[in-house]
Amino acid sequence: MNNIFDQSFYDFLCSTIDSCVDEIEMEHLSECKKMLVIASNARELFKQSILQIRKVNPQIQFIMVVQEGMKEYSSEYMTLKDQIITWSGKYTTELVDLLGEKIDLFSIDSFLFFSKHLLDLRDNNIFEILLKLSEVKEFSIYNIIFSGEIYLFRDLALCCRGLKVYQAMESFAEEICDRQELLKECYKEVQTQ
Amino acid sequence: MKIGILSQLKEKNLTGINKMTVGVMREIQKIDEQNQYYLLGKSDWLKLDIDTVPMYQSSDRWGVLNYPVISHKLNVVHSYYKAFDLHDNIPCGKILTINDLIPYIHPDWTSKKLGQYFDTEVRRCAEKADVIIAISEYTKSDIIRYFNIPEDKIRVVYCGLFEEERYQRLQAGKTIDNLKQVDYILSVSAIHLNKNQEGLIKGFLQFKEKRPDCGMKLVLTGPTRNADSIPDDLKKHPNFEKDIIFTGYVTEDELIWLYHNAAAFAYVSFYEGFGLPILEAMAAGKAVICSDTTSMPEVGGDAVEYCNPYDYESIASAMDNVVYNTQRRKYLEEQALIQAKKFSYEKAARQILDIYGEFA
Repeated sequence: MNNIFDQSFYDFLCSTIDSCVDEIEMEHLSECKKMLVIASNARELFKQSILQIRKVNPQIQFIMVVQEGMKEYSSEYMTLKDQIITWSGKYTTELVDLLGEKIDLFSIDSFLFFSKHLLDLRDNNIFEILLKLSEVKEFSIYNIIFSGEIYLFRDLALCCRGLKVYQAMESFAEEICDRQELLKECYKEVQTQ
Repeated sequence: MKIGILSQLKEKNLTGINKMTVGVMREIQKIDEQNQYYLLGKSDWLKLDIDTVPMYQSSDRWGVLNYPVISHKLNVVHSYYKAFDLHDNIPCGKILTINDLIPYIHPDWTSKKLGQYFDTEVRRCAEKADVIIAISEYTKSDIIRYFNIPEDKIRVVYCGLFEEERYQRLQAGKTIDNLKQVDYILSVSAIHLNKNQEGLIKGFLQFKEKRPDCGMKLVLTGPTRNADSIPDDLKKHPNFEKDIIFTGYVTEDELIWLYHNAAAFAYVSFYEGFGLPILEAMAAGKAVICSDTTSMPEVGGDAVEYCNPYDYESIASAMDNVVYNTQRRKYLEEQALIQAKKFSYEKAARQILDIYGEFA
């Protein structure tokens, strides 16, 4: 490896991050008992996902965290055993404190959130929430993306650390680019081949 | 050269932008043996036999690509949709394809957030790009007018037809049984406001009022098309239930069948960056009724029946002319096949390869 911007380190970092997440089938959720869900404003996707989960797991109980504007829509397909908790604005780790007041966190065995695409950096706040929740108890973490696939996080902590390294490298790359002589060093190996 | 390709987000079924990416890349792979291509980000659903450079992005921001580009020593980045940022000092060519500026010009048709994204990140990416590819002359003129981009930075590369052999007569497609005995005018699109679904239906109902013995129906298909999107007062029209048919979701094979068995095709959108359904209908040998606005005349040429999308009478009159003037309809059907052949991804691929060659 010539420098930290070498392709081999980049590929190793990304393959490590990718290895933390597996695509799964909906049937994988058939064993979940009590699922904490961050509702999505992609209403049709959200609704169909909840209905599909209930189809493979009729006994499941949902704790639904929704923005105020989604409350009525979400309640249309909730059952009596489900619970809705409203939140206003961007989700932060303060949500964990609120959840701790309203529900028994130890009873949760699974978590579901929605994203535009897998490992969306926009979800950094959700990852922070998940890491804080994980300090209370381990649970299965599922992510449904807008094209309908469902993923299971096998190692959230490693994934989050990997993404932090990636973002730090991106910031460092930006600073390197401001110094032409350093940027040339990054490309030097190409010229000597 | 090492060329990185950035496309749109993952979809269940390929539409517009991803179809263009795949269509062009398949042709480029046939003719280019010198350059190496890489898809940026997880793109296995595109089913292209091309290596991937993994990367992680925020869906609500433009893609920052310094790290993957430096690590993989890419010489060119070409985005087919997503705005991206690359430091000026990185020795890498920047190409951005712009399909249209509809979210910027008409945020009321899309969303304020998307309008802002076009006004900030797409605009800035266009300003920093070395080359912009516009998919029509009309989109090019919009980019010059609204983004103040110099004309010599913009190249026009038209779309082609994705898997064009499927539109040829020999491909029957999959039958939709309840439409087998129905004469219909077909329209294919999403339900975005610029697609003028309401105008299309009003124009059709007006055409039917003038021809009460006509058994023609209007069949509407598209990923999200259904009656829920129609204003209630329009749904109360006495002929609405009888004459307007929403197919719901159809497979690609069923869509081919719909094209082949239609009496004619109608596309009366207010605003397009290209107008791909017009090309699809022409490739299927159908007489096409379409708007005389924005990019659509570039696609239709002299091979379609034009109408004013803002005028229901104009839409109705165009439909009447195509349905009842047999000579006119046959002429348009013949011309449609000739016009459709002017557009291909092979042609687009060669144009794009020439653009890549400028960075060699």
